[in-house]
Amino acid sequence: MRAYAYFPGCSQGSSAHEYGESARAAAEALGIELREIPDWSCCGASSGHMTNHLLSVALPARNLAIAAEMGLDVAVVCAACYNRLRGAQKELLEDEGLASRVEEVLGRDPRFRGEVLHLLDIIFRHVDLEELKERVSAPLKELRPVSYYGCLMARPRGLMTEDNPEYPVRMDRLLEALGAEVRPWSYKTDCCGGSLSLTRTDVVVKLVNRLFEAAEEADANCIVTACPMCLANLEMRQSEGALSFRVPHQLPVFFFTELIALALGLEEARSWFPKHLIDPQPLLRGAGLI
Amino acid sequence: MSAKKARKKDQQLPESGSPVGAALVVGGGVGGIQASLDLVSLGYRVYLVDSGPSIGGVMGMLDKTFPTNECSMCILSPKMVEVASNDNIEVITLADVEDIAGEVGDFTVTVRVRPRYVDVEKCTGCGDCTAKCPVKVPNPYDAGLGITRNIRVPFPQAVPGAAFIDPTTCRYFTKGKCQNCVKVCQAKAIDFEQKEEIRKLRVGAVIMAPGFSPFDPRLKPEYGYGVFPNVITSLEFERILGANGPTSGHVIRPSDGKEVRKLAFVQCVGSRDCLVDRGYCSSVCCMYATKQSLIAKEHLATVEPTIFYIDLRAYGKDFERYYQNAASRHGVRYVRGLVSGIREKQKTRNLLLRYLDDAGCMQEEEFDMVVLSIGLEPPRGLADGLGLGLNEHGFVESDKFRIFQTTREGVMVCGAAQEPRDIPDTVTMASAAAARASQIMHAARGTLLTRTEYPPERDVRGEEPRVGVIVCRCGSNIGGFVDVPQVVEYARTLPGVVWAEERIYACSQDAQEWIRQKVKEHRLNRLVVASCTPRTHQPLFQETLRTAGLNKYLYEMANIREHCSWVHMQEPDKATRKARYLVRMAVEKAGLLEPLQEGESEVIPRSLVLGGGVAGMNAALSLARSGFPVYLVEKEEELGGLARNIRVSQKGEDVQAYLDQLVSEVQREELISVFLGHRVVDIGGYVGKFRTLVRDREGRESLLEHGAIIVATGGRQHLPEGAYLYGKDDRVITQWDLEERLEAEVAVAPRSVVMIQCVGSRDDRHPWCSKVCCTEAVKNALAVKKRWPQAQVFVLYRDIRTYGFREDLYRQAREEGVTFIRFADGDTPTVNDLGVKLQVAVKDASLGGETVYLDADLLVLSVGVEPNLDNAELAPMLKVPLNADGFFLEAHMKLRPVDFSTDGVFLCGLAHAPKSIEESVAQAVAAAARAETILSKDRIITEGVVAQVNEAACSGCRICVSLCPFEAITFDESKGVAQVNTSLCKGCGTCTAACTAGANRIQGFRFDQIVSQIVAASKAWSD
Amino acid sequence: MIHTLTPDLEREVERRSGQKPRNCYQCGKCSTGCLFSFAMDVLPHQVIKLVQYGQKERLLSSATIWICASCETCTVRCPNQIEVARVIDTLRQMALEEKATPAVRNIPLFHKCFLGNIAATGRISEPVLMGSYKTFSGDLFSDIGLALNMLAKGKIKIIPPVIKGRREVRRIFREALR
Repeated sequence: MRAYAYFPGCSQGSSAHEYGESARAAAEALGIELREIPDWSCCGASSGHMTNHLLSVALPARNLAIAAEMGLDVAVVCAACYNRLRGAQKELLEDEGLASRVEEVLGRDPRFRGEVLHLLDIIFRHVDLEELKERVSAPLKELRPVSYYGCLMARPRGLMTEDNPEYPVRMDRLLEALGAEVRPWSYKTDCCGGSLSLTRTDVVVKLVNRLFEAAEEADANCIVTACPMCLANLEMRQSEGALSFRVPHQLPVFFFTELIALALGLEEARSWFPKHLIDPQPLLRGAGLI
Repeated sequence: MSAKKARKKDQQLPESGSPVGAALVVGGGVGGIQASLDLVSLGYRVYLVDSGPSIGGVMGMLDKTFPTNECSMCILSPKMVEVASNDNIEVITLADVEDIAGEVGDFTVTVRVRPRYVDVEKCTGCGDCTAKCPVKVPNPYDAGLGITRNIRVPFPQAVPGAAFIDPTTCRYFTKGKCQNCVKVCQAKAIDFEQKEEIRKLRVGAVIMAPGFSPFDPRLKPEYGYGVFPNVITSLEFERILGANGPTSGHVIRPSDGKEVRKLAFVQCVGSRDCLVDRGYCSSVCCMYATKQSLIAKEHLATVEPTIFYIDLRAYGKDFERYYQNAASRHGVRYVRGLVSGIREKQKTRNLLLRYLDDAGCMQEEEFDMVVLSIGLEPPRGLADGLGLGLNEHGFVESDKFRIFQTTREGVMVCGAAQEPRDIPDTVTMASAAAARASQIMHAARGTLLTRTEYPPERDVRGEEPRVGVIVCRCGSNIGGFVDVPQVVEYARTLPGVVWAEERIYACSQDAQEWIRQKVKEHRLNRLVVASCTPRTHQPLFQETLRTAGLNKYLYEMANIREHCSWVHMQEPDKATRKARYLVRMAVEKAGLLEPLQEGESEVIPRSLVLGGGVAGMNAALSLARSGFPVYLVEKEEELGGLARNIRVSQKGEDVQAYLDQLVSEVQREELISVFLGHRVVDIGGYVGKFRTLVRDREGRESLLEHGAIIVATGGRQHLPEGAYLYGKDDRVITQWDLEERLEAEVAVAPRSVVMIQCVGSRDDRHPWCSKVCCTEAVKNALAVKKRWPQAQVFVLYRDIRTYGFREDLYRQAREEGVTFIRFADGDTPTVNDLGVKLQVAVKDASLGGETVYLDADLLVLSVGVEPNLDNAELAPMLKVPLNADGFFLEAHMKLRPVDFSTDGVFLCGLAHAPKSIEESVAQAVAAAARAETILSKDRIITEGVVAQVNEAACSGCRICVSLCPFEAITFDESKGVAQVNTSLCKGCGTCTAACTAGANRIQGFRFDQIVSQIVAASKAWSD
Repeated sequence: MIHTLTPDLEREVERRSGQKPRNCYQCGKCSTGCLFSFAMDVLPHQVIKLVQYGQKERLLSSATIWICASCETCTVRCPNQIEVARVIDTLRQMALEEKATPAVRNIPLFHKCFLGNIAATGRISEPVLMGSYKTFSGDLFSDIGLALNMLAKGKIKIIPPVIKGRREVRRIFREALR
């Protein structure tokens, strides 16, 4: 079992609960131990980064400092947290003046010399896809997903995941290994609208619909993502309006870890699907997966 | 003995101390080809090395060339054939130069020659081997599109025209079995035992012409190249447009072969881009995208091309007109603003591109195909171990004023390997490099040339025609469709034919020997070969005839391949019938052929150079250093020309110091006679024998006799009387004035300097781009910042045309804080005099036309270059034309940029078109090289196929005089008849066709000869 | 109309962000790649131009600096290696410091609520965040349907998480907002 200092991110607590559960389950099944960073705090996400430079560095740094004490590399499952933690790490290692200032405020050494990795990257490091194929008990045959990585996983270039910044393929390869018929499309890293979800819902609605239209044009029947904010926006923001329940695009949105668990035959997977705001159960039932 | 065998003999060693009279040219693209032809004309043996299986380079892959839209291969292949048929140029393919040892004048170059596995002497390029090869490979000649076989002739016009095997994919080499090719080769040319060879070549000078590598757009992943099938590179698109390409010229797209309607071009892919470490501009992409748009529309009228660009760099001669016409008359849409990322629709594989329209609104448009205008990178593996300096971008470093000179004495460079550039500039540089090489080697001129000894010509006058006919099978190319034995039988029945036989490959080496034998055996006095095209093979058979002791004009060719078997493959019977009448036509004419004599004309080994500026002085010095006296005529009282107004060059060099040095070198040079204050009164004579009368201000005249003329009369500065308050306010100055002020003492430093571009260029009265002004402005802006760091500098522009490495200067200017503001074409800035300061109002196009008010202590106008007012007077004296803008018009815009159609007259500098100092230097030295090719000969051999006037029949109407494109016909007033100057006549036939009296005829293409062919054809058809 | 040009804004932006807007040659890639451009009043390439001109007021009062979601598409494509999103971040930070009136009021408000939540408890609690934002923005009803839906599926934890190291977090805020 490879152990990582796990930074869950605030959304695990509520709306992305399924993500957190499925991440743990999938990681465990794949031999990755996620040890939660004790007393972790919010990384600041967009709001920190957008309003105050010191906040944007110090809030993530606190968690990196605690992780350093654990002596492990850090695993994240949220693309925004991933972006913020890596960004802060880089700045602190490159700017000594900044690092000293943050150290003073935190009372801990914020210079993290380990690696901060997204669970997707970690899986790719430790799991051989051919072996994974062997372990799949419920191949995702009738699922035709498009992989949606979101904007924060791929950028800025050189800082983030080693994959191609415009055309990442890790999630696609993973889903293929799980038996899905991955549909190619070119909107993989196009922003969903991010933190404007509440404040400029109209903007998010426009971008979300654009993504759904592209997914449908690509002949997909679901979207798979690796960022809880993206999933929330995709599920919630196809339209504005006080009482809108029905949505024009009925494509369910999954976290990639949910599908890993499903394909590996983990029972608990069933409990996550009813929680989705766009019900994936009809699709999964039709595919014989639940 | 075959001249070809003489090539590989050991070279004779020159006496110690004198240079080796041979040169090495590295790279067989258009630059290398031009350099080779110039060098051999100048009297030096040439080794032309190319790393691929054929010469031709990238130009050989292009469909058409800008700005004339001519077929690229059509203008290139005659030069390739010239190289092939010249015994003094040894083409060494599949070879790499590993080391250059020694020093200027005497180098020993190590060349590693990879095995071709095919004997070039035996292979006839018939293609039988390719048809049977089982290995399919993507075709590199088609930029990877299209599939070909491993063993192949690289492309139809390849030189050498022989097949080659790529051992990395050959089944025999990789798996140990096959050799299908050997089984089918009737010429027994394939040899799997060939080994790599190391050759040591001893040469006096080296010219590098390795060209460029195309940028790999996978480094810009946002464009989806390699992922989206309908996103292709410009090179791939060029192949799609090519008639000999993978789609035969149909504008269809890769994913589904559908015709393309909406076509997008994305500029600057891998150029002007610091993100991928390619900060320079690739110089040619704006023009080639325009060209490809126009050609695509020519092929398919429904194509709608859109070009997305940052600055449209149409800076060369006629480029601006080409661009404006494309936009206004030919339906090419230009959208300013680069596309950021491309999205794809999965069902149709169409592409979605977003851009800002004129109103500033974001649009998303769907396109069928996207062409990425990729940049030019330095060639791979350049200069390892060759002792050459490279610049920061990896291109060959050169001297600041002589761009053809590398950091190593004796090694020159031309073309894109030194800086991305187009074909005319490459050809110019190649000639300049050859001139420099000649300066090094001229003491050994002619020493290593092999001259074929010909037997005396047998006098066949009075003899009955004894015609020999050879019908070639060309492997299966002719023999597979035309019934060759039947044609031979038929030939034997024709009047005059005493011998007819077939041959499997009439062009092979052993066949030439066989022909010579048969000529002797049957006492033939005329020869007909029925085979392929005279374009490639006429010189070969004419040469054979000459070595057999007959006049070479006693030869006639029938093309029964391109004109027969290849186009009538489905109808062999009709093809055979056609072959019979083609042969009959040839035989008929052969019977009427007469031996033709080539004339000789003397050459006065001296040149006239008109104009004593940078160009004129460099041309004069170049010729003088090769040993030729020069008359340098300058109308002003001092030398220097317009460069006297420029302080610092674009590369930061001291121009005045350079000029002073040039002037003193000219004055010290014994072979140059300078005529200051003199103007040309009259020019008479023709190539080899010109007579020019010059006169100074006091009326003193001199009559100069010389063999060649170089026109270097320069241009002049546009003075915008009244515009922008110029002439009314002394705060409004030109860039030259600014250069002066930068040197002078000023009472108060200017706080704000505003520059306005395109004053007197790109407008109705001057519809051309003056090429240098953007770079000059940037250069001067940097100088202002250096002298007065507190000053604000603004440059107001339409397009910033800092092409090539000048882009680095533009970036530097921005980094130093110079502010660049773009105004839309037509939205010119206005100037207001507010007393204490000037106020310039400019509509900033980036802000949707919002007006920005700039205070100016100095308003600097970047004025354009205009043609010299004397051009209109000089042109008729020189018998050369001017173009629509008033600059001199060269013989051919792409491949003969320093020649005129009129032989013996050459062109360089601003007289040709606006250009920078180093470009003038290169063109001047190139003109000197071209002049030297004439001056270095003792006599000029003139064509045998020339026009002749029957004076008795000439009515004196003078139509022919005005029509002749080569100014070869004059009117003799005393006799009242036209006279053809055979030294200038090229045998084009225009005069003959126009002559209403039938008094003019072309030797070898007489009226009776042609009529006999027509009659013979009709007879044969009914036979 | 732009009457006075000053280099001060550019210097300030460069000092804070390390970015050099003057290197821009107005290729437009940042704007054509920006997915949020339809909601912006000043496009990214225009922002860079206006920084060069010194148009501080105009920029700090633009909607653009709030609409930008820092997706960094512009940053990753700029051929002159200008991190455009970072320039916009800097302008936004300056706007907050100078207490300029924001063109889109609810966005800085949202950030304030978000950060206020973290300062209080160390982690985001969605009901707390929603509650405070909706109250302060006066936009109480737009997501009622959504909220009910989520509640029904048990996706909302009513009790907010509170970490032990709250004091450390508050110290960070104190230092940053000084």
